[in-house]
Amino acid sequence: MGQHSSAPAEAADLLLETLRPHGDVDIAALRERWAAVIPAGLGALAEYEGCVLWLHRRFRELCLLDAAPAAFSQWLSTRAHQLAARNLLVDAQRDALVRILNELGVPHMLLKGAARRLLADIYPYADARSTTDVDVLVPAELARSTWLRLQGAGFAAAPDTGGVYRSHFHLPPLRNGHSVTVELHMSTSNFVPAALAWRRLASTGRVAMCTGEPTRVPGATELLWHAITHAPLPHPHAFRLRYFQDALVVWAAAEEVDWGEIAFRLCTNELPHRALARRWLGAAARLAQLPDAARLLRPLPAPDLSKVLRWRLSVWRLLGDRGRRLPRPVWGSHPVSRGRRLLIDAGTRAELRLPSPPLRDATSLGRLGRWVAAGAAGTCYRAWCGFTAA
Amino acid sequence: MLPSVVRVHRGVITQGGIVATAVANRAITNSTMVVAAKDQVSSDLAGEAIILSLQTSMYYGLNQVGARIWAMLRTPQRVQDIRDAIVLQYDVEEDRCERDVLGVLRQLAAHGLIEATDANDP
Repeated sequence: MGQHSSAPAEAADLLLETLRPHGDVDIAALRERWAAVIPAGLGALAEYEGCVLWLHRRFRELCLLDAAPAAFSQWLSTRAHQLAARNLLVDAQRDALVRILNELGVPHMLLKGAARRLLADIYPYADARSTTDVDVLVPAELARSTWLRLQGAGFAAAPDTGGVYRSHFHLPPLRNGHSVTVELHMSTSNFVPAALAWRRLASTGRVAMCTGEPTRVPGATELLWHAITHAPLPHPHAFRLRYFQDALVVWAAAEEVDWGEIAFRLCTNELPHRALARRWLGAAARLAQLPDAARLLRPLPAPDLSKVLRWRLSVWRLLGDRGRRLPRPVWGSHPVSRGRRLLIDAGTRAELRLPSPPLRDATSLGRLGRWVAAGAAGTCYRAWCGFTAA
Repeated sequence: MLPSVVRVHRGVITQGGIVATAVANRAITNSTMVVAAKDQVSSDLAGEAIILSLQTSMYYGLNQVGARIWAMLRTPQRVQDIRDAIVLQYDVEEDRCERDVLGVLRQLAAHGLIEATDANDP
């Protein structure tokens, strides 16, 4: 066994290389590198990136579970089991919803995770992602009545106290006693008219079976487009691996994508952040190592995610939970959890040239506080850059 | 040797919490017919099986051999047929295999994940 590698650069690069869904992997070399890596912070990083199931799948495929440090492999397996169980619950809710919609005679199209999990045979790794709710598109003229009829079938609507859903592309979420919400969509985004959204998806979708019940799922072009439009740009979270996964699994599959249509839509107002979206797509293509990406969608700048991941891992290591019996959650509201995310966001913003966050919904003092915190986080990132360069 | 079944005792649902499962009161022997219970969902997790009991909100992980047994349980099976299939597929002695298969099935039954009936029952 070689020397242990403690550098965040090696660990972050190793993570990216392991996740990359290409065929020509030197498994022996990868095993050696995993055996030598110091896994501090890697679990938190995988959790933050939302890539636990993806990484676990790759670990099993590449026989890395017994090569990597035992504690990390154990954590990965346990967490993957937990997320897979949660996905089963979402699937059960999806199946129940499809059955009800078919009984009501409502044409529908499953979206996002609910659809992807039915398409794993076509898009490898499309199902290796945690899902939390069931999104379904219905024709706009049927949406309200279906939403009301579902309430007669055991669902209850979440109160829309702020009137958020008055002009939103989906109705207030529905719950039925299980811990998985259902969202009835009239469109795929606020920037696409409902009729156009339905026409696009219905004309290119395909039939899939959901425990014996027929349903419909989007075709490759719409799945890819949905992945692009649902990356929460310009927020740094859009550059987490889970969002790239949605795009690159479609891209990397052999399915036909209408690239002309994608290129056309990239120039329209459907995307409020067009230049950023291209950078985001470039990062996804680079992560998947897709050689024809620039030819298909030029110009497609390809930012290097590796440096961003190194910074993120450094943050998890520096402000980690070593020695704590109860680690602070990655997404918790504890000041340490929030501080770590603030630092990570600052690095992502600086590296990917993302705009500063809007300082809405706060008092002048609150805005000043956030501004100072963001500035301090940015300074930390620049100091880290200088230190690593030196 | 058969790797033993892996059980993961973690609740996944926030509502309802974890409920203790009823222990199957019927002894499982070689002649018992077993089949997956209805109130559960399962999926493949890179060769392993994850089973979620919809009744108790608990989930269970089965290793590769356990997953193979679980896959057979989609339709009613006699325990000795499961044992024979595993003996054929894996390098394991029949006695040892029988003990392990019975152990796995008893655990699954104890957690309400399979239904067991005597093969002689009408």
